[in-house]
Amino acid sequence: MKKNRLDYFATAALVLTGLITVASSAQETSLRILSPASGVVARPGQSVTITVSASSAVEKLVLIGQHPIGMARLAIDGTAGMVAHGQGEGHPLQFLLTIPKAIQPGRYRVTALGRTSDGVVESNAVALDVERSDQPARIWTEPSIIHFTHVGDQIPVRVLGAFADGSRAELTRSSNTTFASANPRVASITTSGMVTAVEEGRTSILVRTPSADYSVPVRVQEER
Amino acid sequence: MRTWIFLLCAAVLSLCVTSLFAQPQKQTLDFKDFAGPSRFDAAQPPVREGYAVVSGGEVLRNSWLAPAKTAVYGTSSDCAGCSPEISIHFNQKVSDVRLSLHSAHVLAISYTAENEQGELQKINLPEGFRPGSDALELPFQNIRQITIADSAPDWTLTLDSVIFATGSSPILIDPVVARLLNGPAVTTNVNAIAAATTGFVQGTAADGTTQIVVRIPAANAGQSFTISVINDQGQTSTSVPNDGGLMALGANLNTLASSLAVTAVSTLKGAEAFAIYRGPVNFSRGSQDDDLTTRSVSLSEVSTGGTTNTAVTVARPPVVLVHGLWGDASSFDDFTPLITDANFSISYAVYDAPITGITNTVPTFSSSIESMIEANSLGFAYNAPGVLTQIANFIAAYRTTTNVAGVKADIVSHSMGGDIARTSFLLKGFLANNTFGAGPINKLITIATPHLGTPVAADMLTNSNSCVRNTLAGYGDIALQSVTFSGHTAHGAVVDLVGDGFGGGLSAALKSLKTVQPFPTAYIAGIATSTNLNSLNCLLCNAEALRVLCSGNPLAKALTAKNWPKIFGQDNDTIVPLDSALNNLTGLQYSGVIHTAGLENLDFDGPSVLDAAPNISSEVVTLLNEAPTGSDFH
Repeated sequence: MKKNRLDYFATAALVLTGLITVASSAQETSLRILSPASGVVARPGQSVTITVSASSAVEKLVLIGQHPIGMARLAIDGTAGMVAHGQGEGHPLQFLLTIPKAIQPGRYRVTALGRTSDGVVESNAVALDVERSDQPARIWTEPSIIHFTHVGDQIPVRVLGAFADGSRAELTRSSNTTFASANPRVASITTSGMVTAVEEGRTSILVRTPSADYSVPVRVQEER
Repeated sequence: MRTWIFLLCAAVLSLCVTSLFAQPQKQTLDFKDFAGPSRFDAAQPPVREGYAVVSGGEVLRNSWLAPAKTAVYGTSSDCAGCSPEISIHFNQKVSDVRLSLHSAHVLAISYTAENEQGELQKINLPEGFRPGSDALELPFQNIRQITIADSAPDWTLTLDSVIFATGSSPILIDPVVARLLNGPAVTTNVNAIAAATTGFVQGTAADGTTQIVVRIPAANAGQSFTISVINDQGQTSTSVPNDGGLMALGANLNTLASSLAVTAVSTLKGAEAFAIYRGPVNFSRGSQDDDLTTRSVSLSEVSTGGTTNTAVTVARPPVVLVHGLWGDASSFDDFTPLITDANFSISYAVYDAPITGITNTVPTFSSSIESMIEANSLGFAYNAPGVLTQIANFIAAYRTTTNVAGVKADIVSHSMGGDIARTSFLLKGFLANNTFGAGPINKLITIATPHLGTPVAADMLTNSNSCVRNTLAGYGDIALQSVTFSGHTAHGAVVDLVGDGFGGGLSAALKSLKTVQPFPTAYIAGIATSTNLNSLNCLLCNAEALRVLCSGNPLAKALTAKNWPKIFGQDNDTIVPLDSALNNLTGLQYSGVIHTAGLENLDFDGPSVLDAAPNISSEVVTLLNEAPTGSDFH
């Protein structure tokens, strides 16, 4: 039986801190999310079935999605609630994870947490790429103007979109949103939208989605 | 010769003195400081720069329609809400307007001129504008508005580089934008002020700090002017706090008065007189102002040659919302009516950037949990500089988009956001010169901020609650004592929030804030009741799952309606004790609310302090209208 990455991690580090103890090699513990694959696209409001393999040493386990998704419900006929018991690797468990309708597009981590007689174990993590099925009719940013007064300062750019159905959503972390600086020598930008003042001058930050773009003027002018 | 003309003119027309002797100055409106898409999508609010206000369309940047330009202004039938007509309104009379104009259609052009009696006359240019030209010239005087209209069904036009001459009236200059500060005060170098060609504004924010320069063209050095503040009832002001006040260049703030005598001096740009106007200390003077976006005063400049009046827009300071631990801008998504109140210019300071390059955390987490750590899990000292930078930038953006001067913002903070705002005062750059040495925070409103910590913080960091801690980390709520990344170690947020809630056991970060009250602060606290806790006793639910999964952890055991209040030993919002939220002072208290909507994932029942239902948002609007010296501010 192959130990998952967390088992090794916990054995090597956590036991030393006394924070988490894990099953010893004498009683192998396995807790893995089998499906879906990491990076799968999900829609706001959709329910996603997550299949988890848990060895019988896992006495109790839950499946948790990163905020605002929350805890999954068991999807086993005749079983209610959120806490499952490890059934062995040949008997995977199914959870139903409901993606909230009001969720910002982006990648959300899902993981299973289990408890054994020796402590807590954590599964591999999978990322759900939550994206709307429609594209924004227009986008804009907050802030709409960036004025740095010190080289090295950083300001995050938030991307907001308006959709044909009248709704709005923050798109900063959507995998469909990209950022670029017209002149990285003046101001650079990370893939998550953090702008850094590099040297005095003017440039602009270009934000793109498949259906719309937006340019934000940037000025770096040292306060004297 | 100039004196001769002046005397003749003064005898005949009292209003023409400045128009004859002013030093005409060119202003250019080029849109490069404004954001926009590369193709038409939707109408924007009017663009305000210097004396001009352009409306009807939107700014395009990097557009194929104008490949050689950074930014242009335009309108099109493809633009939702755009008008086939672009209007350029000038706040004072200008002359000799020239602009670049592009369209495939014949355009109708008209302008409105204002005569000496203030009467407006609209004049149509019979030839209009024809395709193939790339410039429109209006070599006329006293222009107050230009209208450019495309009557084609598929209208599209763009313009840029609007150049016009001013100089016939007193000018208001933002010394921060025009770089006319000497330390934290306006320079007394009159040649520098006379030479300023940027920073022309229409008014100032009512923050009791912002100063603007009044530059008055004169016939000659030695000419005397008496400047008076006229209130919005047309009366000479008797209240500096309500209407703002005047002082001489280089004078002390305690000399602010409703009127001021100044004498013109020689400058490299000719004879000019100068004064400083500092705006009101608060926007709202009472209920009559509570529903306004702006109000106005005017400056009356009386000299032997006549009287001019300069309108001054008085605007609300911008408002910046600062979220709390593990939060982001969406924390305020339901905080209505404030966030949808068009009277306020609202921005969000966020600190939720991913933290990369982590080499160690205390307590330890799996690498996949580490990959979820964001700045909102880190402490006050790590986040305060970024929040302060954002506040300063929002104020700068406010100046650009509203075309009024302003150096301060009102801060509305939730939870740890209030601690971070207070920590910003401890930073070296807080009392920056470009805030006249006063700092960028006008007043602070804290909602459920643990000023004295919370016992939950210490509980979260104890070994006995490791299961709860790891489970909550799965949600992204990562309780940290410290994080080492990219070569340096930062406090975790949760360790900074340690305190018993009564004032004891404070973390070092909270101790450093204990005596800090640098700006007027109002406190709002939530108090949970049994209705917020009863669902904790649920079966087959989140709370039960945590109790079952983490049985033996004290925090899991406490996750019942009966046990949770015992953590605090006083009223609380399920996370922050009452005394802590009020900083052991007085404040506003709301019953039946929980700390944050995220707790509903653990089966606490809302509403939260940031939901619309408890009306805390309405109370915040009231506090934003209240003077910083009001009874709710400490």
